[in-house]
Formats: sequence, C-alpha cells, structure tokens
Amino acid sequence: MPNAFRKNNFIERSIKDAVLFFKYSIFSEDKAQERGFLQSLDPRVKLVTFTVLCICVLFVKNIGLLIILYSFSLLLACISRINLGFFLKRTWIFIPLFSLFIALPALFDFITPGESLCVFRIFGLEFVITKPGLSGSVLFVCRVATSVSFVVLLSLTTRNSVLLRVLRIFKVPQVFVMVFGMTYRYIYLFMEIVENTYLGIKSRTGGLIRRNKGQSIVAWNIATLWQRSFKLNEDVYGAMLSRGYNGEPVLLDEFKTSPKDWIWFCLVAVIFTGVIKFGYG
Amino acid sequence: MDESIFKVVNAHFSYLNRFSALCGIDMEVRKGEKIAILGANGSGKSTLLQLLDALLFPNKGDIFAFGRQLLEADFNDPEFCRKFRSKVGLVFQNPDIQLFCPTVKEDIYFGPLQLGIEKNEAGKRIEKIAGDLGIGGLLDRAPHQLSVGEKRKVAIATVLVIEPEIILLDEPTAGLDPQTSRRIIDIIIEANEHGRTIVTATHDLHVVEEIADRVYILNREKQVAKSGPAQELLSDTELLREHNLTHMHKHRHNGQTHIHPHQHLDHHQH
Ligand SMILES: Nc1ncnc2c1ncn2[C@@H]1O[C@H](COP(=O)(O)OP(=O)(O)OP(=O)(O)O)[C@@H](O)[C@H]1O
Ligand SMILES: [Mg+2]
Repeated sequence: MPNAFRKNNFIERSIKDAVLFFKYSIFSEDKAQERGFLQSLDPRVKLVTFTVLCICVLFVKNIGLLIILYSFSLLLACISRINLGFFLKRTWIFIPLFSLFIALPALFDFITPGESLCVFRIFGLEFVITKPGLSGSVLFVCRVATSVSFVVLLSLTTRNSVLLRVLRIFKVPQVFVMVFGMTYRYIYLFMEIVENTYLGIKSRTGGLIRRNKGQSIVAWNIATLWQRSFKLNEDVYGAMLSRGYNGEPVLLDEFKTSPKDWIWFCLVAVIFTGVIKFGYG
Repeated sequence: MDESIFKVVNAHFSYLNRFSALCGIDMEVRKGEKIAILGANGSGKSTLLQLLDALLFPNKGDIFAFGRQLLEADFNDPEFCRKFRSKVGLVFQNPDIQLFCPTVKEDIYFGPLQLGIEKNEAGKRIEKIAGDLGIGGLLDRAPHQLSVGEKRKVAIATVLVIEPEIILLDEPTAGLDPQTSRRIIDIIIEANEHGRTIVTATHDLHVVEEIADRVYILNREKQVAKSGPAQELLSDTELLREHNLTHMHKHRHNGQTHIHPHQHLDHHQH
C-alpha cells in the first residue's frame, strides 16, 4: 500500500507542479508592476520597437553582432529591474523548444553539406558534422536566443491586458485579439479547474487512487474540459450581451508618450539602420 | 408606484428542448418594488432572471417588459437593445462568467462604454462605486485572480455603474463574509430608495425580509408555489420547510437528540 501511495502521489505532484509552473510563468505579472526602464515606456512604442528589434535579429548574419544584440537585451533586463538569473532561466526554457529540432539536424551533412568536422557512428550509420552546418546551427541558436529574449522582455514588462489593448490600437482584427484574450483567460481557468479537480479527487479518496483509475480520471477530465469551456464561452457571451455588447467592444484608451519614449524610439531606429548597413553581409 | 415593469405570463423554458427549467411561471414586477425569488437548488431561479434580462426567451408563454412584449427579433435593433440594456442589469450567480475583461477597471468600464455613457461620467461613477464597495485597491488587478468575495463585489459594481432602473441579482450574498454581505444589502436597499426596482434570487433567509416586499417561492416542479408579502410567507414554517429553505438544527438536550427547523426571523424583532 505505501508503494501505491507513493506512486500515486508522484503523478499528482507532477501534475500540480506543471500546473503551478505554467501558471507562474505565463500569468505572473509582478515584474510588469516594477518601476524599471522598460516598464515606464508607452506600451505602443514598446510594441513597435520590440518588433523592429526582432526584425533586426532576423537580418543579422554575423555572430559577433548577434552577441552584441543579445547582450543589449540582458542590459535592458538589468535596467528594468529584472533579476538576471530569473531572466536567463525564463528565456533558456523556451529556446531548446524552438531550436533543437531545427538546429540539430542542420549540423549534419545530409542537411548541410560541406567540409567535415567530425564523424561518428551510431548503429552502423555514419554521421558527419560539417563546418557550415555547425556555424549555421550556432547562428540559428543565437538568433532564436536573441529574439526570444526580446519577446520575453516585452511580455515580462508589459501587462498582458495592456498588450492586448495595444494590438487593437494597431488594428489587429478584433477576432484575433478577442480569441487571444479569451484563450489566455481560459487557460488560466482550465488550470484552476484541473487543480481543483485533483484536489477534489484527493479529498474524496483520501489520496489513495490506484494508478489506472487515476488515468481514467485524467481522460474523463479532458473530455469534460471541452464541454465546460464551450458552456463557459456561451455564458460569458450572455454576460457581455447583458451589459450592452453588440459586436464591437468599445475600448478604454489612455496611453501617453513622453520624451523618453521618443529617445528610445530613435535609439532603436539607429540600431536598425546600423544592422541593415553593417550586419547584412 | 404601480407601473408594471415585468409581466410574465405562463412562461415555459427548457434548455436544449430537453431539460425543463421553468414550467408555467406567472409573475409581475412593478416599479420601485423589491422582490425576492426563493426556491431550492435547481428550481429555476437563475433561468427566470435570465428570461427577465432577455438573454433567454420562453419556449411558451410571454414576457412583457415596460408594457411591450420581449421578442428575440427586437434585439437586432441596436437602439432598442441599448435602451433595454441600460434599463435592466443582471448580476450573474457565477462571477467568473460576469467578469471577462483583463482588468477589473476595464470590466467596470465595459458596460458604460458599450452603452455610450461619457468616459468622464463613467470615471466618476466608478470612483464612487469603488469607494462604496471597498474595491478601490483592486482596479488594476486581473478579475480571475481575485477571491470569490472580491469577484462578487466587482460583479455587482459592473452592473451598478450602468445605473439601471431594474437590478436583477442572482444570489448576491452567497460566499460573502457577514460584513461584506451587510454592505451589499445596504447598497441594494439604497438603490431601491433611489427608485430602482430590485429582483433578487436567493437562499439566504436572513436577508430576504430586508431586500423584499414580496416573495415568489418556486417549487421543484419549476412553478410558482406561492407568492405574497415577505412577512407572511416567511412566517409560514411549513411552506419554507417544504421548499428546502429552512436550516435544520440538530442538538442534544439531556441526552436526547432533537432536530428542528431554525429560522432567523425571531432574531430580527427589535
Ligand atoms: N445550461 C443548462 N443546460 C441544461 N440544463 C440546465 C442548464 N442550466 C440549468 N439547467 C437546468 O435547469 C433547471 C433550473 O436551473 P437554474 O440554474 O435556473 O436553477 P436555480 O434555481 O438557479 O438553482 P441554484 O439555486 O442551484 O442556483 C435545473 O434543473 C438545471 O438542471
Ligand atoms: Mg441559480
């Protein structure tokens, strides 16, 4: 029995940890409330400049310059009162996700032919890492790292709600923004539901669920989650109608730019021109 | 004081044409009245409120509001829709449904902005309501990250800010601490004193007398079991017990266990 108990506890703990991790990394807004440099910028200017910075990263073909841009993002994190360790952890969690599957195969000669660097064998198959393959992959990972850093910086220093509103100002179609906003909200609600359901199951069974039973509960959950979300959407729509919604939400717009925003804007413009002139080759 | 606001005539409603939720309700709400709808879980209180708010429409029977029949097609007319929505506000039972904006502030602004109320005017109202309800500190928070009680207060604020003539409330005091609950009752009573009509669905017998002149009791057959003045219905213990509305108290005297219904009316005699 103690064995079953431990096993089951393990499943539960890992689900709970995963939920908490996601909840914390997607929904924590405490960094956005701090009074650092990026937090003080007008969100409209921020969205434009960070988009420009990400485009810069796409154009750069020189690893040195990429490293400079990457350091620039770290500098920005520092002056925005974001703990560097926290920031690095946050960005490097996402990077393997994006890059591994693309960068890893590109190392080898069947994708990137060229001068071979090293050769090894697995199960009698010969793998050759090529020089252009290696430098291409390094460039790719650097690029991903830098652009992910910029995106994470933007999302850490801007409240999600503000970001959604800015998207509307830039005429991103309302459907996208609504869907985006609702998804965000419902992911949160889902996590709560999952968390509470597990608590509920635990309190009803006293923590002793046999392993396969636990699995059937998980399956059941996913099916009803869909139904619940459907019902929820319908009800929320009713609540919107009740308060006068008729298709187009009227938004509250209260942003102001200051000289600081324009200085920052010019700086980014300079970086962009510099990159186009020197980094593109 | 007897201008008719809502008149419900033999209204039937079923969800998906399968799960019946109301089976022949007759009801009348007059201007300036305070009405409570009581009934056990699942007796159709929430459904009835949604019919009054014209979110659902009866499968059979009619509902009249302000002397005009409520028809789904009429709500395609934006002007009619806007007028109706500014006159009638509904506080949902589940505040998670009511609050859908990214921040509390935007959520409270939502109604007024949709209904074409000036932003400055809306701002003033919000400031006052936030003060009254003690939610000033929550305005920049995300609604889904609040406690249940805080959410409920915000949900009430989102409706009060529209300043509707008729306020429909679905269990406004469920899950609130006694003081907050008191605050909300006071706000409801105050709104009524300003001439607003109040319809509340509730289980909370403590508060019924204060927030209702007249009471409708719905039974398990999803019909009106009885309606009448609050005082009269609330002193009918048998009736209340029949509809799951009394607390049953169990305690021991001299080694013997009794079970008897417990009412709160006697505490309120001053
Ligand atoms: N979305 C739905 N789909 C199907 N049936 C529903 C739905 N909502 C409510 N019902 C059914 O309609 C009936 C009335 O429900 P309603 O929510 O109006 O009751 P209520 O009096 O508000 O209950 P409570 O006190 O629990 O809030 C119930 O039998 C319920 O099962
Ligand atoms: Mg209800």
